[in-house]
Amino acid sequence: MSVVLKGVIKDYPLGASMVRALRGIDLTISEGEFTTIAGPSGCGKSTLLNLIGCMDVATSGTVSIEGKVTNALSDKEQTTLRLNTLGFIFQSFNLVPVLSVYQNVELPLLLQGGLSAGERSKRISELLEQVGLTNKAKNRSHELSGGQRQRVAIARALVTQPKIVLADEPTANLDSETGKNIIELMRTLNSKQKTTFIFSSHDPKVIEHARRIVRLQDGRVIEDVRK
Amino acid sequence: MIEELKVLLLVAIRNLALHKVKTLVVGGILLVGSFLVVFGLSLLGSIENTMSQSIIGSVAGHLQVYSSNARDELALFGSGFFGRDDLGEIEKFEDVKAELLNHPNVADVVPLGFENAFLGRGNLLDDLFERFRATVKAGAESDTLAMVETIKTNLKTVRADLENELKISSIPEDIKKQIADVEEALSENFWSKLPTDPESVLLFLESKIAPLSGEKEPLYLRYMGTNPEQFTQVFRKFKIVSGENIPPGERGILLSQRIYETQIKNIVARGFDNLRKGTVEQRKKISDDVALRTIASDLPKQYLETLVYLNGEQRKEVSSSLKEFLKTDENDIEALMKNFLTVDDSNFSMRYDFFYKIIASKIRLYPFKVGDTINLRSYTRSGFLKTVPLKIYGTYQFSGLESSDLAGVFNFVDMVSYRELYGRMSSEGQKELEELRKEVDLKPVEGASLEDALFGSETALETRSADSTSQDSSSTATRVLEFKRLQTGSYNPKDLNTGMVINASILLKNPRLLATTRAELEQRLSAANMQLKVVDWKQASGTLGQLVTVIRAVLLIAVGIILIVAMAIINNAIMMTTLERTREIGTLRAIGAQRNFILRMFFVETLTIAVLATFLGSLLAGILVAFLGVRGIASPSDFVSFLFGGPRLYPSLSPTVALAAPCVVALLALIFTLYPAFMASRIAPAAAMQDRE
Ligand SMILES: Nc1ncnc2c1ncn2[C@@H]1O[C@H](COP(=O)(O)OP(=O)(O)OP(=O)(O)O)[C@@H](O)[C@H]1O
Ligand SMILES: [Mg+2]
Repeated sequence: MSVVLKGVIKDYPLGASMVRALRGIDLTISEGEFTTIAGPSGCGKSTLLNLIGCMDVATSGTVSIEGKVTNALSDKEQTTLRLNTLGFIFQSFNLVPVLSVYQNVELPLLLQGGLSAGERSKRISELLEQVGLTNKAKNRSHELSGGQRQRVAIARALVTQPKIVLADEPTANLDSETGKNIIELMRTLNSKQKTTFIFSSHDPKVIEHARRIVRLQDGRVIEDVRK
Repeated sequence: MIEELKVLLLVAIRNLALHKVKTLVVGGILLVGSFLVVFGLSLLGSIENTMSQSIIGSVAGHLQVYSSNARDELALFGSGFFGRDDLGEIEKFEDVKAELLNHPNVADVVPLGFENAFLGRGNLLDDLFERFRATVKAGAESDTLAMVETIKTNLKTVRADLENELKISSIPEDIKKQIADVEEALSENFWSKLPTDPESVLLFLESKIAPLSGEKEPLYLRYMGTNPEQFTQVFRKFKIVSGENIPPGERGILLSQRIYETQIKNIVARGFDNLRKGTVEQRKKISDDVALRTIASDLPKQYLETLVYLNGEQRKEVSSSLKEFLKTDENDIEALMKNFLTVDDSNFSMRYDFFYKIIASKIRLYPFKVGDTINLRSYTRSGFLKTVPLKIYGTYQFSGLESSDLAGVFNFVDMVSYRELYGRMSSEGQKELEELRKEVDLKPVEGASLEDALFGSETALETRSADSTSQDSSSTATRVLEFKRLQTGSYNPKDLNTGMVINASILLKNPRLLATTRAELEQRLSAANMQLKVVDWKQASGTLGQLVTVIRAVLLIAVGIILIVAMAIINNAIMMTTLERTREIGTLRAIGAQRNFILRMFFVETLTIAVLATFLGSLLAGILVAFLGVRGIASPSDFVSFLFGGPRLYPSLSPTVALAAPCVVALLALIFTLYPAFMASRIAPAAAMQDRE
């Protein structure tokens, strides 16, 4: 199993009191699944993805990634997990502005170390071709459109060949046509490489592309359907 | 690793370019900081170097040795006040010298001893009457008459002074009697005796009137006893300006050219010299500058200092030249001279020229010249006034330090005369004293030194050795003991290097080993049971030597404060950008960058700007120092000239400073990056999700 959540509760402090963002989530996502977390604003989508992405820790319950329970991991171990096992796509793309497209994609490989410049170049070129940005490799991110930027971000998320790619509202900052293209791209990559994709969205047009839809409301799973 | 560094460097450079204001602020501060440190320390290093050369090369040598029984610390250039220091004595210089020369790094040892003396300058009337006597004897009537006029003018001044004194005096009877004497000397009746009985006139003037004008302020001289020949060989900056060095075996004094010009020269001429220096060399205005204004306003009051030297013929000449020069109908030479000496910015340079062309040649510019013999008076250690007549062999200066009062503070005398003024006898002197004792038939003395017994037990206030040139026999209150020398004025040259000295300069072969040599010498001396201490030139020169250390400390503290403030600003600037970059850092963390990576990113960034800025700052400082090294920095004052080792300082860059300073500044910058970098490394990966592009 790729991702297993058991009885996950997440509280956020809010002033003196607590806000319960997740109220007991049990969820299992298998390898290669293409899953959407759907639900209205404030239902807990981002919170859930952050927990899966090892960027935050559950108040109670367990989160396991590739069989490893993440709750008890140190910051360093969590970071290593993010680097090697997980890939991230952000709503606002989050490219490093001072780096070129190529360098942005290369960055996780450099953090990993181990690959030669040639090996890196080969892998990056392949990915850029797949996301259709071969001719933009040398550009800086501010020279690209939103859709192009998100494709760079997808390439960056995939360059380390992660088991799981997480994307929190990857299309929210894009027009619906571009958003659709991005989701299609993700879908293609998912079927080609058996990478597990988990992304959140509240856009019905986007959601319909998913193979599995997990619907949240008030921090609870209210629906879990597979197509 | 290297790949990572590359990307860090790339990110760093790009970020520096992106945050231009921060980069400029941080870079600017680091640049100025390292510029200041390099420039300041180079300048200071150069000053220390030139100053050490000034001090080492003039009298101090590398090390000084003196008695460890000294109650005061050796301060060659003064401990701050003109007092008498107790430095103890080195009893047998020859033994100490031999012991010191055993050390392989000691090149030479020069005996020294310094003390303050004063030089009675006689009084104006003494001087005048002496020349009057000569004029009367010569018999030229016109000269005699002119001189009588001068004497009368002077007497009127004396009378005026006495009348003023009478008003406040507690002994009015005495002063009334003195006024009566002056009235007598001013009367026609008195002068009518001149053709028939000149001797009674002269005697009256010399005995009754002369004492009334009072002594001129005595001239204080700091003198240094040494072995003149050796001194010249060892201290290369030492140069004879006029005359010759004191020959071995002869008694004599070498006057400092600086003192000769600035203290001994005729006071009116000195006034002109000082005004010229101020107006021409320093481009000041008499009307603007307090010091110059004081000199200018004193000048007319000193008119007598020119007139007393003129004979009848000269008085006529000067008065007609002055009349023409001043374009006036005034005939009285006193009024003319006062008028002439009233100088201001508009007339000064013309009057200066006139003074030196017409007047200077007729008056006595210096009370004594090379070849004259002067009576140097000093208190011996046992407290008696001792006079030693010394021939002025010449004047000297230290090259490069001609205009420095500090370097020119000493007048050199031979060590033998020094000992005598100090109250110690040479071997021959001892013998003479012995003979003298037999002559005056004193009982043998036990215990206390001969000299003390001789002069201390009696009422003798003044002892006088040697004889030839002294003429003053008027003083009756002083019991004078005179004794003849075996060889008048000379002594065995060996005496210069044997016997008592106060301190000695040690010259080293390799000055780099100064500190270790000093310690070794002190050890040797104490092993040889000699109660002596050895100090380096810095310590030996008194407050002056510590000056650079103090300046350096002040500079370093100032630079330290500037740097701390600068670093606080840098710290702040980095904190600000850290806040701006929260999302970027969060993203890096989210995609798998460890905390360490974020730390390294900040360090590389600071290091990039710091290395660039500090080395640029150092380079600029280096260029400026190199430029000044060619052009030189003009010394603003005589004192600074001494520090500069001459009228201009030619600074040089210390390569160590030029390299170390930017490294230190960069290191500081890194240290002050620690906290912001640490804060940045704590940014949570979730910060990547903050809404802000
Ligand atoms: N850091 C936080 N501190 C306090 N409360 C938080 C925090 N993050 C989320 N919450 C709260 O938790 C709940 C779930 O928020 P979450 O961001 O997961 O919702 P979401 O489904 O992603 O909403 P949206 O569609 O608007 O992004 C909300 O009530 C929110 O106010
Ligand atoms: Mg959300």
